[in-house]
Amino acid sequence: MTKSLWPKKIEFSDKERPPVSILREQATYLGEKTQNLVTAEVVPLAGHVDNSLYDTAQSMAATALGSQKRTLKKDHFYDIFYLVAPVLNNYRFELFVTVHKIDQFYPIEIHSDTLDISGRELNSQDELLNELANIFSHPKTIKIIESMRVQSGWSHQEKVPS
Amino acid sequence: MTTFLFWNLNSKPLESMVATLALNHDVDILMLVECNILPATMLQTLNSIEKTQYYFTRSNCEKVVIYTKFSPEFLQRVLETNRLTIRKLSLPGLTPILLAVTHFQSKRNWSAGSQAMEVPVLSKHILKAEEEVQHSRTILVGDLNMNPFETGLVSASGLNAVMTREIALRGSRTVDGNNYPFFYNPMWGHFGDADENPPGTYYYGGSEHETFFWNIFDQVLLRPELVDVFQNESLKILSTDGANSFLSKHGLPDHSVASDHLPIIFKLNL
Repeated sequence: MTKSLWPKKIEFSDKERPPVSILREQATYLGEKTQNLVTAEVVPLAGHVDNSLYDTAQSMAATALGSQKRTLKKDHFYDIFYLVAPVLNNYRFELFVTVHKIDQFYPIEIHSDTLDISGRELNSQDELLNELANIFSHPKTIKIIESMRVQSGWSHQEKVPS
Repeated sequence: MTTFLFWNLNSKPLESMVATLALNHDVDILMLVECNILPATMLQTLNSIEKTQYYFTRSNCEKVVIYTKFSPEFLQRVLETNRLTIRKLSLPGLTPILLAVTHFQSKRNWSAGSQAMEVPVLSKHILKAEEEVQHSRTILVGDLNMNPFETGLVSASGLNAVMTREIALRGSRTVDGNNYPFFYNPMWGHFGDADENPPGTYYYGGSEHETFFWNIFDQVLLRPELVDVFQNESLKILSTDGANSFLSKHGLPDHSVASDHLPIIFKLNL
């Protein structure tokens, strides 16, 4: 029998956590803010895309006079960040999508059709946190959350339990 | 029979034509994109016709507008993005389905390669919605800005949309160890000039080497579970509202009269 060759410690530095864990953490905070009338969910796209699609599309992109628009890339992680209204039968709204290489967390790209963000590249955890703060405080984001909250039966007269 | 109509209005004030179409074809669900008509205006026009009563349905999806002949409570939202709205259509006594309506990114702004790479995200949204409602009785309708033969439509992790019922009814196919459900795409049968119907839904006569001239960007796709309730003969690309032609004297979409897209209509026997 061979001995384990894995390093004794496989851990993430607090200075650089996986982006998806940051997104999931932020998703949890939203629920706390809205008494769970509006929550968030991070859904991976991994395993969904067949490699032939990359090859074909990359070959098309190489010959096209295209712009720097979002393209799915091989060996990258994609995560969809949804706002969710559990009371409305888990109604979901895509707020943004993130993408980064499998073997590194940064740079990470953020795309949001709703907020007109097209391939914004972030090179560190701090930049990601700043961008998330901007996204979450965007008037459109707030409007959508409010809409979901109201339709879930929230009333401004209801008191938040202490 | 439940009648569906989809039209890209090219931001034109076509409320009268839309209302005429809705009346003449007894449309139950009216799906519009590039629609800048205020809901109040559209409702007043639609509901000024005798014996009709349409409702506007609320949405966070900015690109798609849906009006229905029945209460919006029967068309509940399941999942949305800025370009996609997926609704649960649950009419009393009828089989519930998922209705996904989209206005996909256009070739004006995105390369064909980029479009192809974005489709898996669209596909994932649909799968997520199907997981939520626990069935796959889904139709996808919209301006896909891609032809039925393009990569995003036919690739397994794209929409996996095939041209025949027989293939679609196999359910799914496996590629690289992953299983991908089919869509049936009846639009394939509407290419060309073999009959008197328009050869496509959108005309672009570019000057580059590869030019199709007529395209079918506006499409309806059905999961295998709905193939048997769909009648191919009910699917039409419309060139008139009964009173006005949408085509120029050369047989092309007339932007000055109507839209640069032609509407599509179809029925489901739910």
